[in-house]
Amino acid sequence: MYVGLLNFSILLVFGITGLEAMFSHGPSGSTESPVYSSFTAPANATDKQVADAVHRYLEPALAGPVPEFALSRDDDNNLTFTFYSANGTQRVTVLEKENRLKIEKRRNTIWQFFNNLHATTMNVNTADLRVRLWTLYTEFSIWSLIGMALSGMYLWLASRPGLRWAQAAFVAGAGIFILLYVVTR
Amino acid sequence: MMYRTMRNIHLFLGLFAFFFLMMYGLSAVQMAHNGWFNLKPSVSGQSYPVPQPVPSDARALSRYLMDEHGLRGELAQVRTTGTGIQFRIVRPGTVHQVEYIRDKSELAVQTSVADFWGMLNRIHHIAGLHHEYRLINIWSVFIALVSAGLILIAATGIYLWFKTHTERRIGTILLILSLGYSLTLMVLMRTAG
Repeated sequence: MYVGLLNFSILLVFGITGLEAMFSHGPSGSTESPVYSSFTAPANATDKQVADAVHRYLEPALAGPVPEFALSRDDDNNLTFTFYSANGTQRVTVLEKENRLKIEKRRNTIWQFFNNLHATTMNVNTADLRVRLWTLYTEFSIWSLIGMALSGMYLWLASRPGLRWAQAAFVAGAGIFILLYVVTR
Repeated sequence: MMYRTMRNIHLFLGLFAFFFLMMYGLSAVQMAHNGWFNLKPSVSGQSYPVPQPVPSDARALSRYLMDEHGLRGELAQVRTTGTGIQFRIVRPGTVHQVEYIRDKSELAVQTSVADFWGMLNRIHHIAGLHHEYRLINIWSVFIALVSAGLILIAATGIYLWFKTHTERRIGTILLILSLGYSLTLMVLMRTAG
């Protein structure tokens, strides 16, 4: 009971996320017009070092530096990468010849925000304190979910295992899951 | 009467959703601590004869592989190369990477099959009702039912706690702490820009 109370809001986030996933057709949200910002790429820097310099310069909210594998070049050979956060994305193109950055922001809907929140776990790549504190809550909730499922099962078996409707609910849920798993496999 | 109804809803939904919730919990552990797990799929290769007349596109080729050779899944990541076509036939836990080279008389298929943990991971990511492979849509329906059930489990849990008078004080403190922490962070993150 106590664990459930501590996890009340994130259980709602999990539930909302699952419902959002059913109706999802991929990323959506509002895309803002591109903005440009002056930026001179450091001389003799690698692409990763330039991306890190852009991260320090823009300080995108909640987002960490871009890993090397996520760097790419567009058709004009400009360095491009994307900062990800629960709120959406910031796609950056480094226009080195023009000494400026092209920044395209996309803001997630509130439902996608919840979706991203539920996926914000301990291995997220950011030092932002708000995100780090949230990951602690997510970590706690993951173990809590397993603990609550197992303790609920124990409480049923220890108190009212003969309840026919409960048996039927368990058999139906287990049967559907196992059948789908096997058939999908 | 009301308490009994709520308790039964809580119990029945929890039992129905047990395997789904364990799937979510265990796969979430795997994703949050991916260093603890080795998700390397088992990979095997096979080749199939190209049908005559040669299908002109990836859809027709994938249909041939499904109908004649039993591959299952939905068509994804179609790429036309200078020499032919590459595409994938995907279902949760299994990916068939197909390569058709025009000059050859064979279709090369590399199949990656995930282990138990990889399978849980893929099921965790199922979303949407728009899939060509119907099994994924069926998964989606049950995942949505379980998600709605989870909200109800949380809501009935709150009711059951509130009706347990001896637990109200400590429960209220815990609930306020939890909501204060989580809602504050949610608002701070959503308004972060």
